Order: sequence, then C-alpha cells, then structure tokens
Amino acid sequence: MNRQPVTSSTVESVGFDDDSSTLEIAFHDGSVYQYFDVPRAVYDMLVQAESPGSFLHQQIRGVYRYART
Amino acid sequence: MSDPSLLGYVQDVAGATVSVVLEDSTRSGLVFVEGHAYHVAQVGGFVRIPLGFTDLVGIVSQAGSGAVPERLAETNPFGRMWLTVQLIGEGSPGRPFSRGVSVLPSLGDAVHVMTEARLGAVYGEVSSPIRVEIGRIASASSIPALLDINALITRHSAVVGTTGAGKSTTVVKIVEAIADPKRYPSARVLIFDPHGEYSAALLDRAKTFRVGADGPSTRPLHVPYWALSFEELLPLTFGGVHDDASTGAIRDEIVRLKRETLEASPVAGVGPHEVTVDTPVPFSIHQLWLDLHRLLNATHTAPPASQTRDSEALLLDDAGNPQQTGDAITVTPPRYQAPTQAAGATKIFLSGSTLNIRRQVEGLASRLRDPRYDFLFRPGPWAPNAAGKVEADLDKFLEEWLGGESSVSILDLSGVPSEVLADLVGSLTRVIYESLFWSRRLSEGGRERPLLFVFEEAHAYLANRPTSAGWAVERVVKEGRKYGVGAMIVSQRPAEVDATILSQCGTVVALRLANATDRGHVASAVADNLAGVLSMLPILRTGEAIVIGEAVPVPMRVLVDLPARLPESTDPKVVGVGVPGGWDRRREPADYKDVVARWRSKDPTSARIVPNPAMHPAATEGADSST
Repeated sequence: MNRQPVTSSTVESVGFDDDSSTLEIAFHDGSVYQYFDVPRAVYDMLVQAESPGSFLHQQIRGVYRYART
Repeated sequence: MSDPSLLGYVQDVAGATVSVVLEDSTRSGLVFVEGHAYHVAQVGGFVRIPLGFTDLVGIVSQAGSGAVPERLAETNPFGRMWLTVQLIGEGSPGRPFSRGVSVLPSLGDAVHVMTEARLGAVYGEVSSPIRVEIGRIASASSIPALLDINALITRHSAVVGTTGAGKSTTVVKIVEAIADPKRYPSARVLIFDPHGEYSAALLDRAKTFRVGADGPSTRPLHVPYWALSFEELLPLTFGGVHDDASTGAIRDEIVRLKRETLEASPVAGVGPHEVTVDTPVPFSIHQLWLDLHRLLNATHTAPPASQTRDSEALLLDDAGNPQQTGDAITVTPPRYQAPTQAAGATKIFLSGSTLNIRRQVEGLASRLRDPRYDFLFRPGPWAPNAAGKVEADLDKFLEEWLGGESSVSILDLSGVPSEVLADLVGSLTRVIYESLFWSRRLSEGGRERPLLFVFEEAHAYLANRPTSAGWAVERVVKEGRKYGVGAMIVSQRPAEVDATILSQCGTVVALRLANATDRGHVASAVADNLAGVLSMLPILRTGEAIVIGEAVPVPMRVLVDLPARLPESTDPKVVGVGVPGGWDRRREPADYKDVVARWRSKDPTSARIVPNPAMHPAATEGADSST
C-alpha cells in the first residue's frame, strides 16, 4: 500500500487500504505497523491532523488492533 | 612560551612501558591546544613522543600516584603525578601510522597530548576504499571509527557483549556498512540467525530463508540432506550408530543408491565408479529407509542362508495380491506374514540379517514422517524421488544462497528443531565452505568473491565440547583466510564459546561485558599487549564498544552508530511513549486466534497484514508525486 509522508517527530508516513480498512504507519526508526479495521475517516483525520503523533497516541493507539509488518 | 600540548617528560622506560612525570602546568587536568580542550591523564587516551623525524604513539594505561615507578614510590610517594604509557606504534606527518616501534624513547623526552588532527591520522583516512565507518571515536566525536574491511573479513572477528549491550545492533551496523550496495555491490554475507532477529533490520539488502516461509521477502529454507557428508548425515538421520558393521552397512547402501542415481542421470564432475559416500550426489533417504527396513524386518519363505528380495513373504489379501508392498516417499512399511515353523503350514522364516540397527531405522522412519524435518528430508526442488532424481541440482541451491541480487542471506533457524541445530549449522558451514574452496579459481569462488559467515548466538552451537558445528567453524577460522571465507562470531557468553575458535578471531569488538570469566576469555583471545584497555569493559555505555585487533590501527573505543533499521532484539518498551505498544495504552480488541495461528505456523507475520507490492512503497510514492 502506498504511504504518504506526514510532518511529525515520530511518524514518517501513513497509508490506507480501503479493501481491508487497514491503516499502515511507518515510524522514523524504520518500523512499520498496520492497524486493522480502521474507518477511512480516522485515516483522513490522521493525515490532516496538526500533530499526527499525538493523534495516533490519543485516537488510534489502544483502540484498534495492530501488528508489525 | 612552552608548547601548550606538552604533558611531561619520560622518566622510566621498561620495554614498551613508559613512565611519564607530568608537568606542573597540567595540574588543572585540561590543556588547550588550537582552541580544543584535552583531558590530561585520561586512561585510554593517546600521547605522542616526538623523536627526531618520527613520533612515537602511546596509549595511557594508568594515571595518578599508582603509576609512580616502584623504585620511586618510597622516596616520592605523593610528589608529582605520573602516567604509565604503553607504546603502540609510530608515525610522522609525512608517513602513515604503523604498528610497532623501531626506537624507544630516551629519558627526558617530551610527551605531548595527541591533537584531534594527529589522532585522525592515527585512526586512518576516511576516504580509503578499504575502510568502513561503523561509528565515532568515543573520546573525539569528530573522528569516524573505521574498520579495515580486508582484515575484518579474512582474519575473522568476534562481537561479544552482555545481552542488551547492543550486540545485534552493532552486527547490523557492520553488515549494513559492508553490504553497502553503492560501495561494495558484490559483498557476500551469510548470517546464521537462531532467533530470527535480523530479517527486519536488513530488509532492504537481505533475503531471508526460514522453515515454512513463503512470503515475498522470505523464502523457504531447504537443506538438501544428500549434500551432507556421511559423518554429518548420521546424527541427523539415524542418531547414534555405534558399531562399525552397522555404519559400514549403511555406508554401502548409500554408495549403492548414489551410484544408481549417477547411472540413471549422469552429472558433470563425477562418474558412477568414482562416487564415494561423501560425494554430493542425490539419493533418496526414503528409499534407503525402505531398503533397510526390508532387510531387517521382512519375513521370508526361504531359510536365512538363501533369502533374497524375491523370497519375501508379503501378507496377501483374499485375491492373492500383496496388501502393502511399502512406499518409500510416504514412509509406509510393507506388511509381512507372521513367521511360523508349525508343522503342515508353509514355513515362514525371520530375516537372517545380523545388523543391530532396528532401533535407529525406526528412529529414521519417525524423523522422515515428522513435518518439522521436512526442510531437511523433503527440501522442495532438491527432494529426490525414490530413484534419486531431483528437480534442481546443487547449483540452484548455491546460487540462491550465495548468488542472487542481494548481498546478504539470512538463515532464520528459529523453526529448526533444537536437537539438530548444532549439526545443521556445522553441515551448512561445511557445504558452503567446501563449494567456495573448490571453486577458488572461479570468479564465483571464495578467493575472488570472499564470503563472511556471521554466527549469531555462537555459544548455543560452538560450545567448549566437540560438536559438528565446532569442527566446521574451526576449519573456517583456521584455513578460511586463504580461501576468502571469514567468520564473525557473535556471543553474549564468550566463556562458553570454544577457545580455539575465539583465539583465531583477529578483531574483537567488545561491548559491555560484566562477567569476569567472559572478560578473561576475551582478554586472552586478544593477541595484543594492549589487553589492558579491556579493563574498561564493565563500564561501557550501551552501544559503546572497544575494537581491538587487526581491523583497526590502534585499539579504539567506539560509539557505534544506530543502523537505519533496528534488529528485533532491541528491548521492548514497557511504557511506550510514541510507539504503538506498551502498558500505558488502553486495551484494543484482542484476537488470540491469530496468536495461536502464529505459533502453529511459526511465522510471526500476521495473516491480516496487507502485503506491500514493492519493497520501498514510500520511495516509489515519492517518485510518483514528483513527476
């Protein structure tokens, strides 16, 4: 899935797969995570967020199941 | 005005050990030269003793009143401050630094602090094509820490350190530096990775082989058992066979099967009559099992003296056909009539074979049926059929591991049964070593395209007792230099690694090591009179290493750079700030079915992961948006 870069101190880029509602997040340390069953709207908010790092921390972390790629 | 870099004067020379009395002006502990501050009397720091046209270079091993020479200790107990310096080499502005000293200093010679510019010359040039950078000198962060790649690979190396000291990260950094596709496009590294830590960290330049894998970046690990030597094959298949008659019988059977294979499908390099039990020619281990099983367990219609294959008494069904003639590939034994010597009935005799290996043959059958061993006994395209014919020969196997487009091959052994781990590592090392040894005049061979073996967690299979891995690795470290095969031994318990192997490592990268026994083993393996610098090992920071030996001009304390991607062995964050995991998050919905599925499949990648079509999605995307 294609990711687009975001401005954040922790998150490097984010991507979304509509077929499976999977959100992919790449961090600056090189690790890539996929969050499952994430609504498209959450992804749109993440991309537009002023601070994607804290949006991830507050709205995604601890809400959706994830796995490392 | 006196030279600001002056520290003191030589007062005592005993071989390479020099005692220096410090000048009063250095009492403050700092000297300023060309705008930089330098610590005086820092253990591990460097000093320079100008001697005509050359400069002697020494390393401070002791400082303070303890460094007062013994003779003077009574008359001058707390007088001036002293340094003990170990001479290590010499250099001059016009000539590069070299190890060893040709002249010793005289009494009264001036001793100077090494300025950063001169220190840089000692540590080596940055632009040299044979040097790779792995970090920065800990005491002078402007100077890169460079390793001589020739000495590092061919003279072997050891990376040791307590768990959590940064061992895997250091290995990843070194591999990343030597497998840089721009500088060394033909680099060749093979990593034995018992815990599966490296594939994520070296994702962009490595291919990973794992038991049962079938992903885009990981390939299934197959080991063609028929390429192993007889000595290696026995413990993996039959377990222990203890008498010569039985070993001989098994050996003869294997030679016969290999010869039959060669008669049916000849290969270049060896004819049917030159084949030995160790020749890497396909034969079917399943057929070997069936033949031995029949030999030992068949009942016959003839007495032992005249038994042949045709006299076997198979169990017949009502129509008079054999119920089960046995099948090699599915490991199904044939069914035989029960022996009887009763009057009136057809006499059925037991097998006359005197071989005492029934238990071992049963053990082989059980291993052949065990799916955990499929990587070995059913190795994909290299699995022979019952007649010994294979889809692909060893060239494809070597090309997949040693050739191919990526420089690094990772053998993820996390799915390999632990009872065969040591034997397997040893056999693979020998197979690869032998192929590079015999191809040493070819452009693919070891002399023309050297190979680095990385033995991660070496204490697990290179212990201080004879193991097959020990023999094979010992051969690599003793003879590999001549044939372009190098070894990097990585261990957290150097005391448990075979001492012969450790002593052959020309370069030691020592991270924090608290255990005194381990430190002693490392110090005794270092062939340098500078083992004293290893006394700093317990107080190194995480990611800080002392590099000593042939790959570096002088022993150096290095702050190893972090690699682009970290290995999976980095400590998990219990409280995760800025990362998805940790105890401080709310609990998301859990799926323990996935947990069990990962465990059963022995593949840590979740089935829900949406695979990426390209290796570098971010890079591709960036290129798209710019057009």
